[in-house]
Amino acid sequence: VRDKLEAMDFSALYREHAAPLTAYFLRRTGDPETAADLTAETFAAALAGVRRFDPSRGPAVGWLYGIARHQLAMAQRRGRVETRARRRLGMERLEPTPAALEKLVELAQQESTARALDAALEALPPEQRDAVTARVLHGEAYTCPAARQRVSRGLARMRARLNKEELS
Amino acid sequence: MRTDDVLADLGAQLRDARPVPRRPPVRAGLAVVAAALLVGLVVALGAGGGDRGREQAAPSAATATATPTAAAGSTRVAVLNGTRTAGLATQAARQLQEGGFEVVGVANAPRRDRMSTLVAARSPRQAAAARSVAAALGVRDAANVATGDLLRVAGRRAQVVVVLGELSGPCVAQPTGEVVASIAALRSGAESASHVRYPSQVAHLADRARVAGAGVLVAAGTLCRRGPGACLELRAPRSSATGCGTLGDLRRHGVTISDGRRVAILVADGVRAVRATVTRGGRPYRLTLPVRDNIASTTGSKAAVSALRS
Repeated sequence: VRDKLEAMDFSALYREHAAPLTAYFLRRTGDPETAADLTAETFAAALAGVRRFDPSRGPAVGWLYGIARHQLAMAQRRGRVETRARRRLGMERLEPTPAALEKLVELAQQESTARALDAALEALPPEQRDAVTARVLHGEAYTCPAARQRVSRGLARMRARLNKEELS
Repeated sequence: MRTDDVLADLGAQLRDARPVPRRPPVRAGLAVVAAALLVGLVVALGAGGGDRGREQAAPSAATATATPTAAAGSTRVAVLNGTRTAGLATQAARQLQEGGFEVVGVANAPRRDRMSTLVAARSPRQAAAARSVAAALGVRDAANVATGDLLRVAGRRAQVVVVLGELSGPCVAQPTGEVVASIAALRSGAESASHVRYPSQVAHLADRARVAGAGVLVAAGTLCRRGPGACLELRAPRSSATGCGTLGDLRRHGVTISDGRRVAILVADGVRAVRATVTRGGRPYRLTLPVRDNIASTTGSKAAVSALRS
């Protein structure tokens, strides 16, 4: 475990990707508090599941965004942010002050954050990158309609596009 | 944990993270991993994290994270008018205030063509609050999360956004059962009912179906009525969508509802019968509905269904 933590340099991963990841969640949820919760749970899940990280399958950032996507999808499906990993690590819930939330929103809007997010997305395998960018750029929660319509995510995405064309 | 800098505090928490033993007692392997994780963490996060003073995360405090409860008094609601009927939002705002909700804004929605009323949470975390608002307004579906457009109009403080539609207000009619009609041409993929949201789309769908020579799938579920309005739930076999309209809208666009229980199915030229399954009292009835003037119709009532069967 220690080797893996060193191999991925967890603290650097946090330093570099906490802000872009929060920006990603913020764009997807529109709510800084939820975004902060998702960021916390994603890093906690990464830390708790560090054994499962396989460096031969790509950089740690891809793995991190994989967890992030999963957390986001789960939160959208269940209507609440998961807290399991944080509880396992004995982490308290963060209760950001309004000032802290403002700061988070500002940080997410900074150009450097956007660049870091782009770089992180670049590091993903193509298939995953498409899925993430589709969601980041289009601002559509495909898993939600998918769950509602009981159809695959791809079909929901297609329908969303058709709907958009039709409504515009 | 109250925090002024989310990311710094999160970094600190990650550095200080202590795996909490599970109940039942941790397996030996897990304990080793836990210990190793701890050591690894100190190494890994030694240089990182925030520079602020940090307290040790007490495991008991973390497990006590409570599910947010939705008390009316603490829920901030923005009420938007999604129609061109003046005064709807003010009226609903008053109703919510009487229910103990804090109304933080009343405004017009970006689009003014809503039929049904939308209740949306700012984020999934406010879903419980949205449900209580929906309940207060008599709206059934509260599992929505507001989009950026709505949030901009609703303002920063709102936790729940209500967009009123023409059919705002409680649904007073009783559920009348469910009709699912499918037409062979539709099954072949001519059109999908999932596109149907507004009366204008019903018309669009009908036109396209006519052109394609296909039937239009229509299904009516719960029909509810308030004043001159009617709400029709359209349901495809593998998806669901809700179409709402005033009685006049629906009539104009080919779906007629002569009373709260009647279901009419618009079909394309040349379709002579429609097979339908009518569920009433939990029992499905398979029917073949005759078509007259492009309309196949039935009602959800058992008597009528029996009559159709014989």
